[in-house]
Amino acid sequence: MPLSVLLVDDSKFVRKGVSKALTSILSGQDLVFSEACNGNEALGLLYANSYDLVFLDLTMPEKTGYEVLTALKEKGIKSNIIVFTADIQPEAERIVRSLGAVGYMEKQSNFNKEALMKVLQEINLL
Amino acid sequence: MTNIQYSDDQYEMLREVINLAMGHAGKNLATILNAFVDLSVPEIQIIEAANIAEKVLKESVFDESERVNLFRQNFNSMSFMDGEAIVIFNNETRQKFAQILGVSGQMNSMEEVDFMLELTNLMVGACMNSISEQMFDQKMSFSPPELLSENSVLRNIAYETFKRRNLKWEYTLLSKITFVLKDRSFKSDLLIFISEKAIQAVNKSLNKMLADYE
Repeated sequence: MPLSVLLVDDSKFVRKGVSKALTSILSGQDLVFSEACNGNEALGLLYANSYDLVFLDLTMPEKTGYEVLTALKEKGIKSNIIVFTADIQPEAERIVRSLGAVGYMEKQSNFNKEALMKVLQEINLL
Repeated sequence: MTNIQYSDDQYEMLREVINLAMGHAGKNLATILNAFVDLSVPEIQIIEAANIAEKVLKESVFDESERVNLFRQNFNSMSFMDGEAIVIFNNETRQKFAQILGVSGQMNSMEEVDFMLELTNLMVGACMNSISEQMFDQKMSFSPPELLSENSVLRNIAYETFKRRNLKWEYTLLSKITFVLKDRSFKSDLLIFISEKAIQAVNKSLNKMLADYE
């Protein structure tokens, strides 16, 4: 079975960067990517489908990542959500984990592959 | 007059650069205010000098009739990236500094201004250094922040500050970042004006960054 991955970010360059890094790290695995560029689109996809892995930005138009996590929690929808964000306040990680995110990664100017591998190990995907 | 217009891809890349920079400034602000800062998507546009006041009023987190305090700080890096930043705090926020910081009693006017100067330095420094490092692999130099105006109606001070004759350039690359505390006790707009000359340097840097994704 291929691993289904949803990439949620308002930047296509970030979405591209994450898919490239995942494809390289999980090279032995079939990956199927879906994308959403704002929180509303993400919720539409998450209500209709189930994904093995979700990468979620926090600062987005229409609905933020915090709002997406809150909506999913209210509906009792659980997913392997890794927050990938430039919001690096210590409180941000605590909040997203309390809302159900299973991982938290800081965005950096150069994609941090080691951090991604660590998060994937934490959720037993590597 | 500038003949540079950025493509959609360049704007998207620049928005992500500024998004990272905003994250650094937000972290510093959260630390000093000991609170959680709500960050929103930054607004970016190359804009004609004559239209700046209206643009600032339209996109500000503040109502144009609100009384505000404006601070300015200039920045540059090795002469190819320069401009100025303006930070706006409203009077409501100013009056809550003591409460936000958990200081007993009220701050006097001078302490409030000093604190806003410190916040300006912190926000502008974190943002601009991050932008410069990402795009040019360099730190920036900064002038000391200065008080531009206090207790002024936003609409009036925006038109006064951004009068055509007060500006050094025909065009600017304007980025607006808003910082709001979750309980709305603190609101601030950070306006970054990249000089006309630097628009070209940013253009080149964006093209290099975009080439990595081809």
